[in-house]
Amino acid sequence: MNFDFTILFNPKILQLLAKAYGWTIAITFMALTLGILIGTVLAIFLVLPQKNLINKILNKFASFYLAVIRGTPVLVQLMIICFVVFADVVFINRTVSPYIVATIGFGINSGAYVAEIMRAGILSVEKGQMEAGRSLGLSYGQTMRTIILPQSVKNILPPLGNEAITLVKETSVALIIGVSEFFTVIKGVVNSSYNVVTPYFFAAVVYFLTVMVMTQILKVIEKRLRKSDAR
Amino acid sequence: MQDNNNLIHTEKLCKSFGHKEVLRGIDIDIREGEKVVIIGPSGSGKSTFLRCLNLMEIPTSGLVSFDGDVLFKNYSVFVKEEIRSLRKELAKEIMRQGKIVYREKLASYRRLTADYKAKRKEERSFEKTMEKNLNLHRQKMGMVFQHFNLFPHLTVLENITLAPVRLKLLNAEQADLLAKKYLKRIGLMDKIDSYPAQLSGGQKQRIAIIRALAMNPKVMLFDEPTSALDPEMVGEVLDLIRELAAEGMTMVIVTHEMGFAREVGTRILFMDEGRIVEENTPKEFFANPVNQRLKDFLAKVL
Repeated sequence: MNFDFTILFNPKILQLLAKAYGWTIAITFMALTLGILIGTVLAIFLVLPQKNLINKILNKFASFYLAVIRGTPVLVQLMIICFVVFADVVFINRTVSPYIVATIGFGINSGAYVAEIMRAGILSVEKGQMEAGRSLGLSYGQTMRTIILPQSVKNILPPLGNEAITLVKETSVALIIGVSEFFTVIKGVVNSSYNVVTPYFFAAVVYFLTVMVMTQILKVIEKRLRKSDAR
Repeated sequence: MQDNNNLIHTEKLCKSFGHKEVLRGIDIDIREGEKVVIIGPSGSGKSTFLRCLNLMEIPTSGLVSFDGDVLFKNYSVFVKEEIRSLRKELAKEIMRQGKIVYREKLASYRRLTADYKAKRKEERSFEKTMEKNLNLHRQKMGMVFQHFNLFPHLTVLENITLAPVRLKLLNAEQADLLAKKYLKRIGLMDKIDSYPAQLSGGQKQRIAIIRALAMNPKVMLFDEPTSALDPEMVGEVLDLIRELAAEGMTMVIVTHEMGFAREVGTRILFMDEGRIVEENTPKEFFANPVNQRLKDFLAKVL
């Protein structure tokens, strides 16, 4: 174990690291936003009343999506998306950057997990709330948007924070498709300096601090959302 | 088809949950201004019946109409049953007589099957058109629940104004004014920005009632409005319902409060095992019950 901080703390490396760290955060949040969008839609598909054919098809589609995405590793999904689906535009035309591909890949992946989180959140809202909305003449969609989803947010937030935290760390996988995110640069430093200890421990500390900050932010948001619980 | 004073009308209304028959054919006419109180032992189907009136619960068969418009219609189930029994009979004949089948029966079997198909087709297309209309009709049928079902993430004011504004019956200002008027009336103006969690049960239920009133409904359906309340809060809720009754609101009330039923109701129904077994004016209903089940029930609760 010999720490050598000089390999990290020179301006050039620090600048690279900072930029790469920025990408990590950016990919995380864009992917999470995409995941929440996909997840919300899928969750609604999953809880739709099974009374007509369209609803049944949407439901089956969502179940299938979940089964496939949750049943395969994110690494494999990313490889397939980058080297199969987007291969032409990424490597031949070079019109789409691998950063976007990584964002889409992580978004699709986290969409499946967020869908289950959302579904649990929607189901956690009392049945009477839907009935109250419908009895006032609001449609299913209106009741969902104005009454059910806002209430489910409170229950969704802790597991959603969990997903965000997982995602920050998962982005390190993106190095395999050539995205220069935080861990890719760390790996580069290891390769060029032949020092394993310092960069890896440094990476661990940075990820840890990032997660700590996210946890605090989530706590603040949650507190704000709980104001209607006050007695 | 029916006279204009009938606000709610049901025919042969049935509801089953799986194999459990909860309603076994209910025919009722409720005229404008009537206050119908439904009492009965638990499990008699009174809440289910009330919830079938605004299709919170989708009936299995029969007809529900409101304000002259049919909300639900399903008679194909009855035809289906007829077909089933006829098929059994036919099978028996064939067993007994070999190949000789009564042509007559076969013909009627075919006729029924065709009838069933036609009815079903009509009902399906009706169901499709009804989906949108149903929301419009529900605006005119206020419902008050046993467990209040206020929206906990919204303030009292927002609870009241949400539906009228979303459904474009009123603009935001008008809705606010209306909400304030009602809040003043029930003496809860100081709670206007409170959240439901900060209110007592009685306050919650009274807010739930004016939330329904803000839609300017033609009829109010009360599903055991005081059953989840502490005894000391029952009075304030009943007082409000009483006031509305005096103003001429049409009401259907499911309740266990016998004194209140006698006082407010213009007609009392006793339900047992999914049927209306006795129906009378409050005076007669409590003074001279006829049905034995009702006598037993009244002896227990009074």
